[in-house]
Amino acid sequence: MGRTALITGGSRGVGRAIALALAKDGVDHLLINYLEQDATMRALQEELENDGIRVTPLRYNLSQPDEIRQMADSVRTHTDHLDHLAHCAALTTFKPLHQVKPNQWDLVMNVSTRSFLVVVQQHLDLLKVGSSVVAVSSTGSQRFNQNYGALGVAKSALESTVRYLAVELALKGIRVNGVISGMLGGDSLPLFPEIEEVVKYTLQRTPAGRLGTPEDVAEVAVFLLTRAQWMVGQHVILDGGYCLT
Amino acid sequence: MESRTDLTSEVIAIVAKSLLLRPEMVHEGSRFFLDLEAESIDILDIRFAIESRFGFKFQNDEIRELLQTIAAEQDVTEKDIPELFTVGRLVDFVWLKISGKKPN
Repeated sequence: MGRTALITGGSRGVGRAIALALAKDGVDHLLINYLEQDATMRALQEELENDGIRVTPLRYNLSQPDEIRQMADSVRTHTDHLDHLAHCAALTTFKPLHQVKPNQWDLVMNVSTRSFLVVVQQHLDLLKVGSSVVAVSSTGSQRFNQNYGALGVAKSALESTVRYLAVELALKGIRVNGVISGMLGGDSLPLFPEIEEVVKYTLQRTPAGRLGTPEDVAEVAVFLLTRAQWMVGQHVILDGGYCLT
Repeated sequence: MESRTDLTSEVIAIVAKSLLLRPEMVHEGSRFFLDLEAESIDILDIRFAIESRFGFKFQNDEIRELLQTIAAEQDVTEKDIPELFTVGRLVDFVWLKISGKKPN
């Protein structure tokens, strides 16, 4: 029986990097959720299929629990098990937290955090003994980042969700862990007006001397998914040492 | 949905709820970004609510294409688009999607 993985928010950024890393690790079938950007998804699918990986794109809006249920129904038509589940989907508005409006708060929380719980719930029958789950968080969950309040709060809740699910699902033989990523460079940089100053400040405080890449995060996520057999409910911080300075 | 008028009321209700406005503050001529002070995440929120209510999905870049069409019609540049994106334009778009008819 081949190895199968579901990745939310998997068509670009960290999700895309995890898809590629899992393929390299020997996963045979990748089910990749995305919201839009069909062209980006098609390009990733082509790249993976050229390497002999089976790819199932899943275009579903994770802000809607009913769509997550529909996605799970679709997943069941393609596989009878999931070895790995990686939650990367996230959405935010970059502004001070005190200016975030209720609808914006709800959308950020629903896509970035609630969807993780609902995705796990809806696929629980496919996650067998020995399977694993990882959620991608960010250092904004633990300390102040300018214009990052909405997602920072959502990621804090995501990390707490990881811990609770980890204990509850360990009884079923499912491991749940998380990665906490520092600021990523390149196309993954958040877009807000003061970003150049934030990057400059971050680099000054980062012992590793560079921003991260999606591949940095994917490498550890895949380790947690595939090898860290005695690791339950933990988060690994990847930030080039920023949190130590 | 029986008429475009009914649709307009429903879309206005969705927009008002999303932006925390009273429905009477929103009308077909309201410009999302200038009059209603909507942000890009609000447009996404409104889009999701419309998709959920009316049972269709916006395709990739359809809103951007809609805005570009508006700009071309009005002979303005892309930077002026926010001034032209109104609730009425969104109603037209949804009406086309659910009825297959172009608005008069």
